Amino acid sequence: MTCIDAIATVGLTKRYGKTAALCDVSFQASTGTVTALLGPNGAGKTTMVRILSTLLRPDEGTARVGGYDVAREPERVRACIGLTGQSLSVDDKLSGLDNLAMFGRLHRLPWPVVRERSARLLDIFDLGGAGRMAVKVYSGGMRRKLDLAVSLMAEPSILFLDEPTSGLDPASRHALWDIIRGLVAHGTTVLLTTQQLDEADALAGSVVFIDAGRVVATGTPSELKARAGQAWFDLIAATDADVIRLTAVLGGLAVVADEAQRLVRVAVQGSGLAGMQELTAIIGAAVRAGACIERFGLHEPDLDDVYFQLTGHARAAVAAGQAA
Amino acid sequence: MTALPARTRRQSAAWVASDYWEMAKRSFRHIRHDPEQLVNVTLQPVLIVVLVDFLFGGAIKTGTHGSYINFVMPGILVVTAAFAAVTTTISVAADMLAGVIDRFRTLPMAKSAVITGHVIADLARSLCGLAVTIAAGYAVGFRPTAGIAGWAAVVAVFLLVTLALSLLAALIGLLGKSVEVAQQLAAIIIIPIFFSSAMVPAGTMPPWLRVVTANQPVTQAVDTLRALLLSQPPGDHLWLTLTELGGIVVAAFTLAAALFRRRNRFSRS
Repeated sequence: MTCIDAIATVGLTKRYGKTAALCDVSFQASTGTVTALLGPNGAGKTTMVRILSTLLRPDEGTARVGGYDVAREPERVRACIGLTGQSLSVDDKLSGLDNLAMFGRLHRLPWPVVRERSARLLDIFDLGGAGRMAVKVYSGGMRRKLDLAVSLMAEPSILFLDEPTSGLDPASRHALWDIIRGLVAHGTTVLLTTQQLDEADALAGSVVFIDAGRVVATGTPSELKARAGQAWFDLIAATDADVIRLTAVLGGLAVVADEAQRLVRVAVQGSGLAGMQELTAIIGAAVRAGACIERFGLHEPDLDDVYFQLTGHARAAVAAGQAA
Repeated sequence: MTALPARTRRQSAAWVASDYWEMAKRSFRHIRHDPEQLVNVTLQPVLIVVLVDFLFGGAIKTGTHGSYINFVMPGILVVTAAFAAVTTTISVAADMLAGVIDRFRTLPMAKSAVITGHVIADLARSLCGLAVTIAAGYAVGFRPTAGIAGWAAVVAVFLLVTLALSLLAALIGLLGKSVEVAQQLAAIIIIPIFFSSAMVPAGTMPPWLRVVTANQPVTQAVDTLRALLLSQPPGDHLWLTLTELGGIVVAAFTLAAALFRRRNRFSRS
């Protein structure tokens, strides 16, 4: 079966009592891509994953996963999805190998397939040595990896990952990212929820930004970043007098973004050679005015800016990036 | 959904059996992981046999059954089955609150296996309890006269009692909002055993209580086991036991399955 959209929702609404966890949410995820559901705590990301993985029924609207309606044909949806939830969804009293075998059998795979895949997945996830140990003694990173390995037993065409790397150290996080990229390269569709914007940036081909149960923006990471506006140049002056000299020489281009930190922000319009000329002109003007700059850095809009812009939270004053 | 062809349905029956077996294996592995949960069916029955025999043995006159231990053993067997069943309450309640339940729910498996796995392990656990209880009974003077057929019938009735209690225990496990609450509720299973002919002959009870005890399933089961062990004709007790306990099994299973689906739909967000 082929269809362009592995996941498609129309007007999805879910209420808990009087509060709407999701409100009229429509989005699509193309087959073989990573889509990130991005949003703050309580935005409705987990509710969305639970509806798409047949754990919750929507109050209104429809959701199709792998071409099947989640409310009408949940069994067919279950046959083509894998889910790694926020909380550990393996049995921690069993060994890693026993978990893989049990869930493989419950996926109704024949024994030879179960044996071959369990061994291969333990190998891929670098858990071979811990295969016979109870999951209870695993580290957080090992548990996450096993959880994902179990989700992959039935080789699902659609994979839901609810905050897959929360609580992981950078090495485990990057290892998991590599695994996810490998799956997508082989045609798996991944829907992941995250609050970590760099994660969405690193993995996702498209981002669905939700806040308070509503979709507030969709697009590729670069489209969203473009919306957040232009790049800027941050200068940290050595003294208050230097701040005055800087603003005087740069005129209307410069804004004092943070007085206490002596942060002066200058918008940069150009890119490439034009951008470089702008930067040298700013530095040159500062040198001529005798304004001493302690540190400076170029700031490109990232998904953090999109996040703060869309959620309406004020962005904490950002110090200039790398030390000069 | 369209009706499945007959062949697929036969295949599914085999898969349902496979699901039950996989979930039972899981429960057996839990026992291997926490062998302490076998205290219920090893140390505890021994203590009960010894205590009951020494405590009540001199005080209670049982009439035609010979020694008190010969009279009380079937009652202790039912108590053993009940304590084994309480483990199911705890296991089911713990499952319902753990993240792993989400994975079971998103698998194309028979959902009832989540409950029956624990129940099957319970049957094995209580068989162990049966052996220990009988052995402890022998040590304090229990002398049953049943032949091979009689013993086979005893084991069968005992397993039916365990099955009924275990499904009730699973039902309670599904109702509990926490493992602790479920464990408290599980006492409901234990209490009816004492309002029966398990520990004392019904003849000594006040008339109103006699009506209650004489007709409740525990009394029927205990009287059946007592007759079988002492090679007496069980009479109506056997058929009443089979129908009453069979009814409980069917009702508790149906209710538990419905409750599981219900909690499935309105589960934690």
